[in-house]
This record gives sequence, structure tokens and C-alpha cells, in this order.
Amino acid sequence: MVEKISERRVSPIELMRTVSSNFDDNLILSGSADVAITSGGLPISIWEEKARLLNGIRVTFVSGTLSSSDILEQQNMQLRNENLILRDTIRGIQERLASIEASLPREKVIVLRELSEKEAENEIKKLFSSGKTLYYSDIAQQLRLDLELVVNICNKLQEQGEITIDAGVS
Amino acid sequence: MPEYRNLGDALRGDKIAASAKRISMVTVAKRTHAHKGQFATLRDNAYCVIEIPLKVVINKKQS
Repeated sequence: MVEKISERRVSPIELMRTVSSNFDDNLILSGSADVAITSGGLPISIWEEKARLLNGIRVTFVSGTLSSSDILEQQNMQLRNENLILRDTIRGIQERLASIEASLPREKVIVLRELSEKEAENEIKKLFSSGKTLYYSDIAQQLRLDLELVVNICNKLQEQGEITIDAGVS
Repeated sequence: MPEYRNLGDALRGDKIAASAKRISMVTVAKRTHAHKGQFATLRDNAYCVIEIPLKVVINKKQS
């Protein structure tokens, strides 16, 4: 099988365009991480190397003075690369923040109500009338009552025979 | 129900409800792979009770 190779003579900007459109962002970024970036972006040797890797295209770099539009486009390419690096960094920070947030205990704020013992007792009786098995903490949270008050009232109701320990729950 | 308030009194249970003015951040305490737990300190008017599942007595009048 004969590989078709087309040879093109290109300016540095065209070279960058060809490489950028054929390589994914990560590949370009990995190249930039290893080699010091020159004032015009990546060193030409890197771009040429990337161009050589493109299937069927051999790019010959044409040296010469850069026009103002070429310089602008070169700066644009450099900024795009920096933008990609920053986006990657932000993505990493977001992932780390999400994992930290997930590991933090969730705080739920409830405002305790100031009720008389009789009123609290009636509310607890009403809650038990649904037939549910409840723990002290369930009652305290659902009725927004002080835990100690709930325990005292439940003890009283147990002595009166209104409520009992649910033996079915381990 | 007894209430323990002496220094050094301990409480052990499967489920303990607690309330206090201040509760320290939970610290994960690892001893071995299978044996790990968590640790926290309650301060200022701390109150703990071993939880019991309670339900209403439906046929109270009959019994």
C-alpha cells in the first residue's frame, strides 16, 4: 500500500492552524507543558513535529518576517492555549471542591418551639397515633422540641401505658 | 429512668441521641481496616439518651 503524501509550504500561522485543527486540545497542552513557550507561543519545532505526525501531510515551514495579522493570530493562539489550561485547572478545582463538599456533614437547622409540657404531650400523642414506631430523636426533630423534654414526656406516657417499646425493631 | 451526671460516667448503646450547645467536628478514627469509628465531643449542657423504638398501645382499654 502506497501512502499518499502531499507536501505543502506554509507560514507559521498556517502550520499552527493545521496542527490545532488535527490534534485535540490535550495533545497541544501536553506539548506546551514539556517545552518552554517562546514569545510567539510554542516553539516552531513542536508545531513541525506535530505536523509530521499528521497522516499524509508533510508540512514545510517557510521562514520569513511575520506580518501584523500573523502576530495577532499567533497571540490569539497563545491566548487560546492559556485559556484551555485555565479551563482545565478550573475543572480540576471544581471536582476537588465537589468532593470536599460531599465529605462535609450536612447541617440541618431547626428552630425549637417553646411549648408547655401539656401541649408537647398532646402533640407527641398525636404523632404516635399515626401508628409509626418512633425514636426520641425522630419526635424531637419532627415536632421541633427539646430532646430532654421529649424523653421526659415519653417516659411518662410509657408509665401510663399509652406507648410501649416496639420489640419488633432491633 | 436514671440520669448519670458524675464525671467519668459512660453510656453505651446501639443508637444514642445527643444534644448540646456545641458539638465538635466529627473525626474519623481508624484503627484497623475493619475497625474504624468516629469521634466527637459535646460541650455545654450536653444531654445523651440511649434510643428506644416506641409505638402506641392500640388496645390499651381492653388489656
